[in-house]
Amino acid sequence: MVLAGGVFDVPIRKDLVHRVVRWQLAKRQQGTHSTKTISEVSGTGRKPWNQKGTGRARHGSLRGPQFRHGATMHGPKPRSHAIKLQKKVRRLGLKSELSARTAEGKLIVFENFDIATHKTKHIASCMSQMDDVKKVLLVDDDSINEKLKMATKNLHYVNVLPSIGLNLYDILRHDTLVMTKADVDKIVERMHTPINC
Amino acid sequence: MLKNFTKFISTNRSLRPLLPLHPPSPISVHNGILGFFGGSHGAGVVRMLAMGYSSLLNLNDLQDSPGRRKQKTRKGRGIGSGKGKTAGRGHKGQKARGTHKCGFEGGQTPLRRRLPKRGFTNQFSLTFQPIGLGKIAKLINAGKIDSSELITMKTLKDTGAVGKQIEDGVRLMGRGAEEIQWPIHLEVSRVTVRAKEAVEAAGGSVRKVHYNKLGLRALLKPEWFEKKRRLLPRPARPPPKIRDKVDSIGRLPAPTKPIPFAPEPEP
Repeated sequence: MVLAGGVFDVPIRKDLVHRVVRWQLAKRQQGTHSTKTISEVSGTGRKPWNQKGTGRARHGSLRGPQFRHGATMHGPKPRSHAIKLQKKVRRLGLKSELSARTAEGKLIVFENFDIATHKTKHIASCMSQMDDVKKVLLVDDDSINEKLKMATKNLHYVNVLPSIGLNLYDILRHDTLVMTKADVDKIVERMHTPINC
Repeated sequence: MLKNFTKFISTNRSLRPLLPLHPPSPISVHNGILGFFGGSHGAGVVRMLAMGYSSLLNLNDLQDSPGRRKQKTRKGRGIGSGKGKTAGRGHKGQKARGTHKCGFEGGQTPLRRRLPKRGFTNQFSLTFQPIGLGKIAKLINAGKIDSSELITMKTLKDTGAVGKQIEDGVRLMGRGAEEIQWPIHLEVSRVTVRAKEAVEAAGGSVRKVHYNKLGLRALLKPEWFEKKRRLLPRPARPPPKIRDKVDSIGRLPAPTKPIPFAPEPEP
């Protein structure tokens, strides 16, 4: 089988890979952090004591940032941390990553993932037979084989993705990428569909 | 073992025994195009060098290209930053303490009132997007424009020659006129003298057509009318002042065949 050079043999753009990872990590942030400003802190707005006369410092409210139980200045508010990234950059990042894995020899292509049994120890023994493999990403077709799903569920070093879920950060986290032949065709097709139709 | 095991790529296994002979030199993966992975030649040499690292792309050594991202100056954050204490405002005074109105000169008549007003804005002026002949030639060579068909403003927009914002029409200009060597037929709003000469020297023709705003929209975006279930409008005649500047009324929808100029009358 010959892999498409336009997808699996492109020059590696490390800076683009960095940008894509930053984009992926930013957009998955929940952003549900919140603090109270002085208008939201519970408490009265009354001036605590006279401006002049008492020997104390002058204050207008007991809920300013210097006070205990007071407001937080410029604190976080719920917001989205997502950043925009050009679609062509995202695509080239994925291609760079696939090329890198291909060049190191860490890309394995199977005909299909028909395994005999759903037992975890079967997969675990296969993984121990493959040398120099610490974390494996299996990419199956859109409907993942049920037996494969069950067999790999409890192994923390094996992860399965449907073919549509192939993304750069997941490939980077795992050191070996295992795909099916149909999957490779799907990825090549995905990379070749024009971006603005 | 998994059934149907067929490993298609296993290059680094064969190169492994050679590793002890070469000290693992750090492969400087420059932040830029790594040329040698693009071609099949030389890939074997590079893979031996790559054995020094565990893999080419690691999560812990990703970096953007130098100079790509610049940190912003945060004022008032200590001596070392260079913008601490007074934060670039100098000492005391109104400018240091608060904001003052932009352009205020302390009561002296400000510059924008000292200078006279000038002119007026013509509501009826028309703005045409320029497009050079060189760009059209480049697109024809690339195969995006069909030179046998009539080139209208719609084809220029669709192929990306002009861009999405076309205000009142397209003006054909002469930059790159030497590259036109075949007859092409164009229908645009305006032409410059040299551009017209260049096209006619090659055997083509340029016709200046008039479209008003609605007509131009119907030419460039007929699907907008379909979506609203409106018929395409009738092309408008040019107003009297513009009649001398155009040759004919534009046609809707976008035409495909050029109208030949009338042959000279027989003497």
